Amino acid sequence: MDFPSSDLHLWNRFREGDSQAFGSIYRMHIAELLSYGYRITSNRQLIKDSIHDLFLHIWLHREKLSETDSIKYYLFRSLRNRIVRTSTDPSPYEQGFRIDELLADASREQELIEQETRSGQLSQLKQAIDRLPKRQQEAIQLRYFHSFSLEEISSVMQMNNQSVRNLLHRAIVHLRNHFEIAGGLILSLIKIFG
Amino acid sequence: MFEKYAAYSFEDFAQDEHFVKWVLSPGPQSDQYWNDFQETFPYQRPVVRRAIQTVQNLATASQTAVNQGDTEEIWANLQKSIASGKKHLKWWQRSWAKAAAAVVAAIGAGYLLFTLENGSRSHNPSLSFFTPDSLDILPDSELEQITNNTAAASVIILPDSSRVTLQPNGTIRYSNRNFSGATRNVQLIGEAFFEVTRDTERPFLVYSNGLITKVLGTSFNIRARKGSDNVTVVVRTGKVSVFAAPKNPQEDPESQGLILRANQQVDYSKRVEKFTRTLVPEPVPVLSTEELQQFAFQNAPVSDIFRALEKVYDTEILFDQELLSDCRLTSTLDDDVSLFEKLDVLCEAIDASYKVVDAQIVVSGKKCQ
Repeated sequence: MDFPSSDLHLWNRFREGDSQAFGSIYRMHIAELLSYGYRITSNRQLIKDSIHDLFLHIWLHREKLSETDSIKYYLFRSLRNRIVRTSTDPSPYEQGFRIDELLADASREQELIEQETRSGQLSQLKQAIDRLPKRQQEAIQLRYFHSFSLEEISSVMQMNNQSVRNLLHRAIVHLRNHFEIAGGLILSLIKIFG
Repeated sequence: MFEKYAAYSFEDFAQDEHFVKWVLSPGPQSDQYWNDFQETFPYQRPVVRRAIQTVQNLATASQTAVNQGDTEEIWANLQKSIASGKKHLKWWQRSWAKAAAAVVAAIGAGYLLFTLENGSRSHNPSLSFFTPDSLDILPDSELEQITNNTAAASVIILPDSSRVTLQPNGTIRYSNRNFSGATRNVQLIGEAFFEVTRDTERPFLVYSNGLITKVLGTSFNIRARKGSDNVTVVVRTGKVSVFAAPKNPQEDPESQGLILRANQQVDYSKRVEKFTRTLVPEPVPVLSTEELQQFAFQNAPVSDIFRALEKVYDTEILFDQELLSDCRLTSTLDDDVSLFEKLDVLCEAIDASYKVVDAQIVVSGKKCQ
């Protein structure tokens, strides 16, 4: 039951030019990167371009990359830098949200998933998150979905620790009303399967 | 140490670093900590429950819909850029629209490229080596199948962000649609270590060689060799329930199964439908090194030492309290000595012996003078 420190190993194989390792890294992280990208900017083309460029860059410069034991963290930080740098939009994370554009595009399957989502409560919360300023959306996703620590978030978003706390706090305050409906109900199973 | 949390609101908890970490990746130590907290401040129980729900909802709701087409499109373009030896990204960006259109039209080709790397992934896999009982439960359309064809373990993140470390030659299958339903279902051939994201409302089920392993959020290893009738499930943290796949949908299969705790494993033979529960060969302490250091025994009753070991390894030790009441020892519970080595030393000192029966340790000895 050896638990693998597989990131380090995989990353080293990749740096040595193993294209299978490159494929694995792509496959393991692409969904998370796309998902994260949508919270940084609503410009989907920019996200796709940036991810392409990021992976092409790390492939071309694989020998010069430093060691990492968290590929995810490395990719997230690089992607964000790339999007922010490349963006011609003066404020890629301004208040506005064009998420409806995105949703219109989402696959049929995704729509079905949305519909099945617990009696609409979660989708209300989802909509409320979509309406937050981009930076709050980004921080919330990094914190709760990707479970980054405050320290990691402040490094990825290049803000100090206290600013990240404040950002998250403001988001939670915004979302306050949407937690009310989520109270209660936890299956008694939680007691058995701690 | 709990005082600061005594007056926390659910929103405070939902922003607390330790609390969030516990909810998103629970372990035996944090489980213990937050259970103790709730026992110390029982009026905070509903608040904690609500905070757990809040964190989980935030995790789910902050995800965004990822278009599968994007994934393949970027990969196909990446292959092209690499193959054509492009060093300058700008050229490619300008021709993105053209390239993308071509790729979308020929998504099959893009897909082929996508399957060339270590794992092969297909929407329409051959179903032959899955047992009929588990196929009944998963619809055969829309299945994702991932096989690890490399020589090293490979990590796969499932749609609920649970991590699967798939050993070489292992295959897992799951349905994206299924992951948003009432249960999260995965089929496994081969060996994998699972770290399951806690979701109390949607149990996580692994189907392997006729055995079902059910869990809400914990970590465990399953070994189910292709073409074999046997499955081994090893629990690292938390608790899981294992039971045979039901023959008819009316019966409740879970009542015929077993509940496994940390440091326990079960071997299941499909042919004889028999469970054999035992301890893992090397039980791991469920307490931290710091907590272990608090255990030091000066001329203490051996029963106290056994009770401490029970706690440290979350494992029951059965012995005759009265018989051993006069046996006294001096000992610590060092981290670097295994449970069985400790038992060897203890039993030798009091002229007793032990054996493992059904994942419990049974000590037999005689009166000490």
